[in-house]
Amino acid sequence: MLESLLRGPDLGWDCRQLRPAHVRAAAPGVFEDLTGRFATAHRVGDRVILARDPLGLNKLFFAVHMDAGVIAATYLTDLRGAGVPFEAIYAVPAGTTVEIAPRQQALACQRFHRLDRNGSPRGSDPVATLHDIRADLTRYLGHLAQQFPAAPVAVCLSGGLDSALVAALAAEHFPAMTAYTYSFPGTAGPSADVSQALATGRRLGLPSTVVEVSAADVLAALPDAIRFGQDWRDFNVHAAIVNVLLADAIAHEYPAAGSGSQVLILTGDLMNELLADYAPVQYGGREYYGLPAVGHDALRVALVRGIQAGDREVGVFQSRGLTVIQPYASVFRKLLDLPAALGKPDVIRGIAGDVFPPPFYLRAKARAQIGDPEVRGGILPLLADSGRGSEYLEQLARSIFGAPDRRVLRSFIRAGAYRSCQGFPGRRCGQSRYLQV
Amino acid sequence: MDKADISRSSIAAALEKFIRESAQVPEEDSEFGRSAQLFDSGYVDSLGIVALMVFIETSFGIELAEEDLFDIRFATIDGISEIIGERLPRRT
Repeated sequence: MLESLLRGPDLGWDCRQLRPAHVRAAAPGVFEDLTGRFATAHRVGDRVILARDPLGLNKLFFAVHMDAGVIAATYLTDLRGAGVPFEAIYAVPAGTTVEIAPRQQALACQRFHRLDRNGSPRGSDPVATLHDIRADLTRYLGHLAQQFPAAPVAVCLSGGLDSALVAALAAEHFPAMTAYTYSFPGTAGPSADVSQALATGRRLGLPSTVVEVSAADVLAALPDAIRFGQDWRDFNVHAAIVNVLLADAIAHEYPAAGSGSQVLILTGDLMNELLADYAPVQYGGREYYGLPAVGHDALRVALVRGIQAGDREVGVFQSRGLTVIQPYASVFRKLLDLPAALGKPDVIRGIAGDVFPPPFYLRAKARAQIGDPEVRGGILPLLADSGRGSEYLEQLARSIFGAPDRRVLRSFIRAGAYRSCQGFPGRRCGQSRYLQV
Repeated sequence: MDKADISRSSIAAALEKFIRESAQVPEEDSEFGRSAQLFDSGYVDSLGIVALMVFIETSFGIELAEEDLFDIRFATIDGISEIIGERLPRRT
């Protein structure tokens, strides 16, 4: 009835383990109270209940077999390895439960979390909200330290504001924490981001490790960036490459990771989506990382909704036995309450207080996979200049995921969501005994 | 316009106008129409679909779920109009 290939832990933001009894009850309203990142699959009588966290941080794919029922997995490649055709794979959307009764040939989706489409509430006091966010983050990190007292902890410091704030707040609770910074010097030398990350580490008194990689390392990491990052779009693949390289370096330091010993990796991810702090990048006369032509509030909703497709953090680190913690996810509702007019430096300064000196906020933003605002080097130029553009990434993804053609691959992600279905898949997928809509 | 007064045809007209403008579809493109495959034919790309969603949600006051994007009808203007029509309040 249910074969589960789910990997990795479910984490509650209140740091209690998500209770299976909660999930098994599966009554309306049960999931609304659950906060955290989770993907669950349970058999309840003759039904299978699948549920996924509000942001879709944990991935949850499934397929329906004519005889065996439901198979669920964290990774697409695990389903493909079990013989599921690519066209028969569906995802549970973020903040949704999917209830499947294979014998009755019934499938029902129920959304338990909705993103507010109307932008930030105009009446809320940003200063008070920022104060609350600081208090919530501090509380969360404190609980995390109690929950995992013996776990080695690393923080990924990119040199940007988001990860610096996470490191600053976490340093109070994890005195033995180590900072890891990715560096791809290339011919342009160490990036401005690396220098900034090292300065931040020194300021916070953290031992720092620079993970210096070569062009060959970057290219070698590309297949796993797609395989475990579960995406082929350049902005996510490029970021996933950074994380593959960081994860390999950290896992090398902690060989017991994943085999009963938990290693926590703190990152500053998600803040950019929650504040819509992205801009396209120009390189070689072309625009990369384009954004939809919509207003700021709508862009924010689209970016947050898009978190559910692509697994550049949780999936990549989990593939190396590492547990990633994205503290901003624990306060996502409050961050979304902040007015759009408040810029990233103001938000970070409002949360951080006087942790960082004023010049810290003046530096121009750079993407971690590029390293400096002038795009002098980094992953994007390396891949673009070596012919590994969007079409190459799609081709590689087709081969990794076994998608029969480009059209089928492309139709698997639409508007930042993986393919889902709202009814029971009723017809055989080719000659297989798996079903598709 | 009262939501209840929006006909399937006026929904399709609004969608067609929006897609023509945002995707810069030339008037002389005879392939483009209300039954054209928007995604497979390249009229709407991965960024365009986000703008289309926002247009639908703000113009018609409905909310699209992820599952709607993968509804087999969500590939043509006629099909999308049908989905929108089902979501609008019925005239009593």
